[in-house]
Amino acid sequence: MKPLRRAAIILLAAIYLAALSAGWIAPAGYARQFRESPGVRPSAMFLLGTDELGRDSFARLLYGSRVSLTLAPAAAALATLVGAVAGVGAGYWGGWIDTCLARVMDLFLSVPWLFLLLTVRAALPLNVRPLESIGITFLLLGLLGWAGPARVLRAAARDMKSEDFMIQARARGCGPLRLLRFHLLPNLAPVLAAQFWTSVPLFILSEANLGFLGLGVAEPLPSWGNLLAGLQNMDAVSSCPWRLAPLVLLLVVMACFHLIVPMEDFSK
Amino acid sequence: MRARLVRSLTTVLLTVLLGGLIAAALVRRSPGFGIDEREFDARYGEDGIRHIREEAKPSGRGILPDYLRFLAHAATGDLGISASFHRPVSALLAERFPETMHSAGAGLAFGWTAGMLLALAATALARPTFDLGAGAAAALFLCLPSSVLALAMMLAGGLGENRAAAAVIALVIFPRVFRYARAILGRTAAAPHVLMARAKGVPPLRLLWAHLIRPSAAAILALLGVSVSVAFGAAIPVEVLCDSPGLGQLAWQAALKRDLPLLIDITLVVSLLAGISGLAADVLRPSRGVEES
Repeated sequence: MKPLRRAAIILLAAIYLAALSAGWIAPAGYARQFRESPGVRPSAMFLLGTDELGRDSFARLLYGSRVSLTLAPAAAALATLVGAVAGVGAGYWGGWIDTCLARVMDLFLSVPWLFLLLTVRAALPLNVRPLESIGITFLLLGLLGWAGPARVLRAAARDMKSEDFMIQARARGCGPLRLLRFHLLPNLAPVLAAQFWTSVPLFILSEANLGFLGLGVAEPLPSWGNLLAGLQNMDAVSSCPWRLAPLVLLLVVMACFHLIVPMEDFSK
Repeated sequence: MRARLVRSLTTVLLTVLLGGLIAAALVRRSPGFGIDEREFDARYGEDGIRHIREEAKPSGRGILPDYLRFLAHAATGDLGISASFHRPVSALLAERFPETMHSAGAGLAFGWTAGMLLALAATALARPTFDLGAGAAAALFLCLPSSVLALAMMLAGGLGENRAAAAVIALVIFPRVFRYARAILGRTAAAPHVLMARAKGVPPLRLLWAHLIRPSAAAILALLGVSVSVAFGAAIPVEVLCDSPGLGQLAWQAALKRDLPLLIDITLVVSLLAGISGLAADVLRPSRGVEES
């Protein structure tokens, strides 16, 4: 393993660990308002200062990272699962199932990604509780982002179907389910893993864009999207550069993902 | 060729029509469909609210007949009235479309030019330091959401709204084109025919054009359609943050006001454009290249 890649894995693991221990590192929580100290500079008590409402920015960054870094992989897992069912099913069975599923994949891929997210998000209630907004945002990413992985898995399953070991297994009387379970899926595991790891950073960026547009995770719950939206107050950013911390953290995490998994999905 | 063109065009149209039908079903099933927010305003009184309810009452027909009716009207250029802007949708689209076309068109042109030039330079020079620098720059822009790029552009100032939007779209397109083109050109450069041409002393410019660019063109041009889709997608946060009054900003405003028919009309128009550009890329592509042969 290349040293740079190893360093990226260690750094990403450390960030994940810090995000998951948010409750222990910042026990005051993300919503508590220190009303006597709104908008203060970084200090020993508030490592990244406080926002205009007196909330600890460091705590909000940690909790926001927990939301984005745990739910983006969950959404990626969902997208990969749906993509695997549709893609492997289409590639393996072929015929009219393949034709229908391929058309649906084309339909999903033909709509620009952010337009698709925005349209479906707007069709759902906008004024929801923060926890519901998390569910809606990441379920949307997972349920709408399946077409890319499905197309790759369809091609892989179609190629693998005519491999010698598959023909031999079929000749020995293996049923379709057994073929799928013991022969096709284990061999597709690397493709599935690649699709999953490619989707995670794309979903992190999509959540950030949705949050920026005010259609992501709802306040007071922090996520990278709504933390980055705070940067729109340009005067505050130029006088308080530590407010760029969410952006720096996003950059570091995305750079780590790029070093670990080369990103080849052009469509989003 | 002609048959392929007709088949591809039919596929694009059918995809958009199917997408429209699904979108119509989505609008019908979305919570709050057929409810006018004025119903919650006590100032209208009971009679006023009853009148508003009568006005906003869904037609009672099924989704398919309603959709067919919409298509018949759309064929005459009538896309209905926007509930949030109280203006014909076609007028709103006609007003905002040129703005997005200018920024997305300029962004695509600059992004493709920068990405291709850098990829060609990296392949021709074959210097690890140059490759590393260009790759790092591309990776940096890939790591940032388009909204942050737009914000950075606004913070930097100096450019007008339209130019800033075009510059951000170019920054979104450039790294994707660079990475993809660099990978394809790199694979072509390692092919035996290039080694042979080098050994025979073919001049560098001829080597670049005839042995690298031409054989890779088919695979690289395949990206054209997808890049149009990416550019339109990036237009939403970019136009919102750069205050550029285009389709992206209109879509965002429609989403916040839950004006679903307008939002879906915009999405269908954009998808149609992306589909047609994909088709155009398919037609422009040379029939055979190294990647396909």
